[in-house]
Amino acid sequence: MTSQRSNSAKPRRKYLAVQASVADEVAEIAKNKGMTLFSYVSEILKQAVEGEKSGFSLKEAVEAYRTVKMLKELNFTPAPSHILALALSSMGEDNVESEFKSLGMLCGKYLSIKHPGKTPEELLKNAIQSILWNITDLSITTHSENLSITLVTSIRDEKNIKAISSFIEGLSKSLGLSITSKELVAGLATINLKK
Amino acid sequence: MPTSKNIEREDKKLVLIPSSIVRKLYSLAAKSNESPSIYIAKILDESLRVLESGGSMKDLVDFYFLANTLRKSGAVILPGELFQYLLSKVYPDNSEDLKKVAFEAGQWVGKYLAAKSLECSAEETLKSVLPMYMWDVSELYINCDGPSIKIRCISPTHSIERSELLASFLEGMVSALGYALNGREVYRGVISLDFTKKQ
Repeated sequence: MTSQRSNSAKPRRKYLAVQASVADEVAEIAKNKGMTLFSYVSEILKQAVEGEKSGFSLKEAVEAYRTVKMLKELNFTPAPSHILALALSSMGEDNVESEFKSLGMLCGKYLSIKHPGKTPEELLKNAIQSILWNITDLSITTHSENLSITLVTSIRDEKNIKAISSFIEGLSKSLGLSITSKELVAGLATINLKK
Repeated sequence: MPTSKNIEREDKKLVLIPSSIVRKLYSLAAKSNESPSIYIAKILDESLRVLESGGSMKDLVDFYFLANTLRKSGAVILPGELFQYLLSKVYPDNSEDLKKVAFEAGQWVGKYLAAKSLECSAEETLKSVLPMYMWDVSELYINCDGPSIKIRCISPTHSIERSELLASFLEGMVSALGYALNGREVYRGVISLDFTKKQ
């Protein structure tokens, strides 16, 4: 995989075999940035090594990057969960359902435009994991045309779970899925969908 | 995603890398039970997805840190308009409670930053993290000069309620780093906060 070149004046270097298509793409980006392929690839790999040593994988970092980028583009804002709980307690149930349903629809539309190659199930899972940060346990199972979502949230509050369920309803609708049944209790939801 | 089969099939090119990085990559690949070529191909493939969308490797690390901090702080994510709508309903009767909640949330993030800032000062971390955390603010100035920190924040779309809570959040965050507030002005969409290091 590697061959070595010795040069006393420079740091020791090794040749690494890389997929030609990947090497070409990286070379193109390096060129656009006015960098050499050596310094650019070294920088990428150095950051990746440092990340792994700090306890996170590059895959996790890419997911976090995509999530924050999406949230920014959708004009989302972070807020303490206590403030949301207080706000929800002052809203009527119909209001909670309609607000969060339209929010889900917006996210579903955004994701289907951004990721045209992904299936509705993949987009649904991606949106739930990216946006609903208080979910501590999530399971999505598929049986031919039917999907079943079970989720547990860290906030044990009825209005909170209704807001989450309405969000998922709007999201599903915009992805071409319809809810066939749902069961909600404070902190826990089971939602069944059909393609 | 690269797999052993498609990597073996595809043409390869030789790329020069510092041998110190190659050694570390070999060791990480071994820990992941993957061959070095697959491991490196995966890194470059993941990185390309970010680089092609205009991001940098530094963005990757920073955004990961940000997302992690937010999740750990128990933050929820809401559209800005919905957040303002919700605030307009509850703020008039609960303004002091809400400010306290925002202050405490900021304090938690400040303590977290201080605990994580082992290689640089908490003030440096604040300067690098705050602009990311406040992604919905149009202009943000942070001046850390000796014993004082000045924060100026402009966001014309923010309501007065949202500006008040954001100011309380920032107060909590900076106070957790050992600073006392000695100047506070908050208007709709404009925040001006001055802090001095506690003796």
